[in-house]
Amino acid sequence: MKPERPSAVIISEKDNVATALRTLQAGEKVRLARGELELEVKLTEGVIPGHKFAISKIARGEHIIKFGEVIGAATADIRVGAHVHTHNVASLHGRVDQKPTQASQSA
Amino acid sequence: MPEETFLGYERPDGRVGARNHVAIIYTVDCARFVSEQVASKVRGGIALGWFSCYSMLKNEDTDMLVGLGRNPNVAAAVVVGLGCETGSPSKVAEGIRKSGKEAEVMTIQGAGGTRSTIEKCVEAAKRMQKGIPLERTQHAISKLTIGLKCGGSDATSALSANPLVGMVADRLIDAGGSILTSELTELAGCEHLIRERSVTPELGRRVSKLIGDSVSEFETRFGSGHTMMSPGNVNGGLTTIEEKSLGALTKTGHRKLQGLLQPGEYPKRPGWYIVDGLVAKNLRHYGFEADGEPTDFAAGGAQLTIFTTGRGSANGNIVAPLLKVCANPQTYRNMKEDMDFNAGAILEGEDTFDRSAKKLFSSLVRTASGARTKSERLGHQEGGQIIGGVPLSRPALEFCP
Repeated sequence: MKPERPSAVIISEKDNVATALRTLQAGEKVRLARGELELEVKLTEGVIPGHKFAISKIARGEHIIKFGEVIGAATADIRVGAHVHTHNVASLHGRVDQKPTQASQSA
Repeated sequence: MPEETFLGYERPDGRVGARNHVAIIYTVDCARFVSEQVASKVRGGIALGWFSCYSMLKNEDTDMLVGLGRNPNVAAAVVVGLGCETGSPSKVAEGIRKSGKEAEVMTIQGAGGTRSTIEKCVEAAKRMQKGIPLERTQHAISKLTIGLKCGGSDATSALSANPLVGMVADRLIDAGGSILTSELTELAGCEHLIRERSVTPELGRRVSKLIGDSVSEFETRFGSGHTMMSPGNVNGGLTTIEEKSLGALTKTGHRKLQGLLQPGEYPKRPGWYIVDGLVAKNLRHYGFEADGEPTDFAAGGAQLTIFTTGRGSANGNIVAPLLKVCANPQTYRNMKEDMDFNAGAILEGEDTFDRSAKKLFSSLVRTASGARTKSERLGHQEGGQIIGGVPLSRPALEFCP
C-alpha cells in the first residue's frame, strides 16, 4: 500500500511550527509525525505550501523554532493551527539582546 | 561490516583514502595536455592542476595544489611543469612528500618535449604504483572528512535534504569525523548563530567578518540583492533572514564550529570547519565556475562531499566524489541517473527523517568503502582545473548561484 502523502513536515522534534507541503484549508485536521512525536493539528486559517503553522501554543515574545533552531520570536500570541509568518513573527537578527516585543511596538 | 568502520587505503601519514588515485598535477596550463595524456595511460590516473602562469605566486596557490596532492584519495603524485612558469613544481612535490607519499617532478622543457615527458611520467607513475596498497583495510569512520555543499536548491532543499544531511553530520562528528563547509554568502543574516556555535568568541568574530567581506565582494562583482530576503522569499513562506540562512546552515547539523581553514589546510580536530571561501574563490577564478567548493574540500582533506540539490545537478569531482542527495522527489525520479539518494521520500511519507538518516549514513560508509557514486559511473571529473587569481576588475563570464 502506498503510504499517505504528508500534508506538512516537522523538521526537528524541538520545532513548534510545521511547514505545509500542500494548500491546507481553515478547519482542516492535519496529522503530523516526527520521531516519537505524533499529533493532529486543526488549522485555524488557510496555509499555502511552504508556509508555516503553529503546532503548539506560542505566547508573544516566545521563540519560533524550526530546524531545531530559533528563527525569530512571536510578536503576538499564536494559537495552535494558526499561520506563522511576518504578521506575527519578528527576526532577532541584529538585536539579540533586545526583546522582540519592544521592537515590534516601536516599529 | 559494522557501520562505525569503513574500508579504505591507508596512507603513510595515517590518513585513509576512499579512492586510490595517482594524481598527475600540472603547475600551468601549458602542461595540462601532457598531464591528461599521462593520466589516461595510468590505472587510477587523474589529471588536475593550475591554469594561469602569472597568478601562482602566492604561498596559498602552492598550498592548494599540495592540499589536493596530500588528499588521502591520492596514493602518489607526478607534478608536471613546462619549466618556465611562475609556479614551482618542485615546491608542490616537496609539500606532498611531507605526507610521506611519493611525488615525482618533471618539466616538459627538461624532459625533452611532449612525447618524451609523457613516457617518463607514465614510467614514474607505474614505478610509484608498485609501492601503494591495492587492498582496502578496515578503519574507524573517525578517519573520514566530508565536505557539505548545496547547489540547484529549491523550496524542498531546506525541508528534506539539508536537515537530513545535518543529522548525518552530527553522527559523523560524534564518531570523531570532520565536516567542511563554505558558502559564506549564504550565511548572511545568521552571523549570530555562527557566533553561538563557535568554540571561541574570537572564531565567531572572524567568521562573522568573513561573511560580511564575502557579501561585499559578491556585491562588487555581481550587484547587490542576492543575499537578503526578497519578496519572493517572503511569498514562498520564509519569514526571517534566520530562517532563510538556516535552510542552508541546517546541513551542518548542530555541533560546534571548530575553526576556519585556509585553502589547503586540513582540520586538526574532529568537528565542523569552515573553509575560507573568499581566499579560495579568489584563488580559483571567482565567478568563472559553478561549484568549486568540492575542490576546496578535497584540498582540505575531504575524501567525499555530500551534495544536496532540489532542482538537480550534473557534476562530480575529480579528487573527492560527490554523493548527491536529492531533496525533491520529482527531481529524483526525473534525474535518477545523476542522483544517489532520495531525501524526497520524507516529503512523500515513504520514509522518516530518522530512517532516512540511517540509510544515508550507510550509503556514505559504502561510498567511502569503494561503492561508486552516480557521477563517478557517468565519468564526471569536474573541479580539477584551478584557473587562479582572476582580478576583481575583470568581468565574470558566467555565474550560477
